[in-house]
Amino acid sequence: MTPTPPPLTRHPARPMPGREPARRAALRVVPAVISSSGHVVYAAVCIALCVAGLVGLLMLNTAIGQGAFELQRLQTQSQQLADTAEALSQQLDSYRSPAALAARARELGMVPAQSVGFIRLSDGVILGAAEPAKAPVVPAAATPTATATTKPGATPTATATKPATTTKPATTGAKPVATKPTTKPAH
Amino acid sequence: MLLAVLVVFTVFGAQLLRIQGFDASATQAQAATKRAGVETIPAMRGRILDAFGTVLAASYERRTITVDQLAVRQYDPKGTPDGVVGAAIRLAPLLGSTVEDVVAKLTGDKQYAILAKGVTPTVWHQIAALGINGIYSETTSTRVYPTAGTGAALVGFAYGSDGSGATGVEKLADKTLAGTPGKTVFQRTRYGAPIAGTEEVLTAQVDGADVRTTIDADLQYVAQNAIAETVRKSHAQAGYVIVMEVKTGRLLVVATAPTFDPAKPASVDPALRENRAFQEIYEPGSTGKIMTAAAALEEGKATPTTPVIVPNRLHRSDRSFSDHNEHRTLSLTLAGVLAKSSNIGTMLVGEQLSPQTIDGYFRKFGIDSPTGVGFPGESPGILARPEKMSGSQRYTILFGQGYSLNAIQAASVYQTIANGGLRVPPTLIEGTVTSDGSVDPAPATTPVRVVSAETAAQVTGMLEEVVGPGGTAPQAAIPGYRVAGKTGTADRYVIRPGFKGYSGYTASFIGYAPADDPRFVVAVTVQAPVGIHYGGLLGAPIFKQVMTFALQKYGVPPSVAPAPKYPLTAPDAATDPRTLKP
Repeated sequence: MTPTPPPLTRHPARPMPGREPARRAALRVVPAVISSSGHVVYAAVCIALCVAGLVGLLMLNTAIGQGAFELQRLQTQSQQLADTAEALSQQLDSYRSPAALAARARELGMVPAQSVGFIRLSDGVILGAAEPAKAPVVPAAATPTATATTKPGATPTATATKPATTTKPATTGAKPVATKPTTKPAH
Repeated sequence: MLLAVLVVFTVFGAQLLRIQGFDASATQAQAATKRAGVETIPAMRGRILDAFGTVLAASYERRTITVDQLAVRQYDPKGTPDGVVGAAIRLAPLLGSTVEDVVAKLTGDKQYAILAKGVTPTVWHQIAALGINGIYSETTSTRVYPTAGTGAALVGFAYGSDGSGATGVEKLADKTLAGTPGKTVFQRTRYGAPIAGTEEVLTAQVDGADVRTTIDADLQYVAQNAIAETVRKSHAQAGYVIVMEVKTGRLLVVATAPTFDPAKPASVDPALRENRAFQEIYEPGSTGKIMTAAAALEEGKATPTTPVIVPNRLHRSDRSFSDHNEHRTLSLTLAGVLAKSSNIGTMLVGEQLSPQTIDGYFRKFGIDSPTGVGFPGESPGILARPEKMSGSQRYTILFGQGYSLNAIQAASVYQTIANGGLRVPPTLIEGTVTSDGSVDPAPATTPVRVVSAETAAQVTGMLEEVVGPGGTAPQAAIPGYRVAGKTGTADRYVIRPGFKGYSGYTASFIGYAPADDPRFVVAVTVQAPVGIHYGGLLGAPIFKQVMTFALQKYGVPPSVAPAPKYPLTAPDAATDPRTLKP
């Protein structure tokens, strides 16, 4: 830009720049009023912006801080929930073990079936040897109400429930098989 | 003056350059090691599952609580008391311990002491929330066996509370289960306490993968109880029940008694922790006779109805052989020989084949070679080569004495016949559970054709006579189903200090059902029972109980077709040209 030489000729019609404002500056009344009110507004806007900025920053910081607290709270909660889930799955594993299920079934008065029988759904024919399950034979000494197990007229359910409530027949041979879960569930 | 200043500054500059420039990494590393602590994060050991996902072994996170005894003195809570006593009063109920005990552990001059082990994460978070000075925790884990003694010798146990596998599947699949531990670095104070928020994972731990076995935990439980009761009642040394799926060779049950609590392996004799089904070898006795019968049928030397004249004594080599009971000379068929379990009859049939031919069949049945499961400590058994056999041994092996095998191999022989002559090597590991829950299957085994389907069907037919009214094991019959099986009552060879020879018996029953479309092989073995020692009386009832449960659980339809009836006796043996005579 600078190397461009100035034009050799001037247009006389063109006024000299800056000359006219300089001339007007002499009239001081109006600009003074305008400029003073302009400064106040300008300052006010600046202060307002500053305050707004600071408040905004404060709020942003607060929000971040709150976010951090919320994050920590949620992380703790997530950790606790994960720990609870693990403790529960451990409990579930021990409840699901065949020994625990068998013990529960005995408590409910169930006995193992000694025969296998099926009903064919297409024609209702009974296949195999479907017999009512009898409770395992328990030595008389171990059964306080021995009559209950030997009563011939008793229904299958009755014979099944009696020994379970009086003794624990199925545990007789199960010495090595712990019926209790080996571990204490976490609390 | 200027020169002196220049020299000093040059030295300074050079030192600066050395520290910051040339030795920068070394110096930084030195500073970092002074400041940084490294914690090893153990990888969680994978679980061992049964075929249906029931957990046989699992690891859970635990914390070891440690204390800086100097720091805990500075504990200053809002309320009184403070210091060690204040900390102990708050910690004791959470640790389930008395205040005195906790005070004792908190008191001292050590900057590191263990306060409690095996604390659950839930409890640790409660402890951490107390904000007691100088109380830290380390992450560990513990191994839990929900099925306890059921199959303890099969699942095995891990060293320590959760280390590498010591026995059983824990050892067999250790590589898959173990995983790789990770490392976390943190910055610490002058006193070694970690500075909160500086933890940084250096290498993430890779948890071990779950291993799915072929075991059916329900069936294992039933079998375990049954064999434990029989071993206890008969005062036997040991007993085992094997259940194998006929078509696949998958082991559904490997139950051994006596068993132990895998959570406390140190409390029992190491010999009790062995899996005797894989590790103990014994002479099978009469259950081994089916290999002789199958070989004779396959070679065309006999049929199920071939008459055999069975005397009370038979002289071969340097020995006089007898049957289990004294009897007059009998005219039996081959089916009758098996049904009555006659040693002499089996010898007369088996001696039609050369020792080399018999040896070839025995080896194809899997005798004297590893099962392929790769179970830790497994023994393949002993079968002498024909040229190295003693004079009478070539006759004794025909009826199951003079060679030895393990219980898995014994079951595998019956799997072969049940599966139409095709032996599928047994498997115990189904595969590894991948991250998306599917199972990456273990390498498939290669089936071996041992005898033809026709021969196998004939052997099955003869074995059905064993559980019939004229056989040795009517106790094994299951109403509604056709059952094939064989009893065994073998002389037991023992080596113990000051004694080497036969003492006591091995009672066994191995069978399969339904005979018209076999699904399961159940092999029951009782070692050294006191008193009653017949396989039909000790083994057959357990077979019936376990097989009944299996047929029920898997919904196997009852047999429809009637069993082929083979005559057990041969009235016209004297005139029949096919008759095998002494």
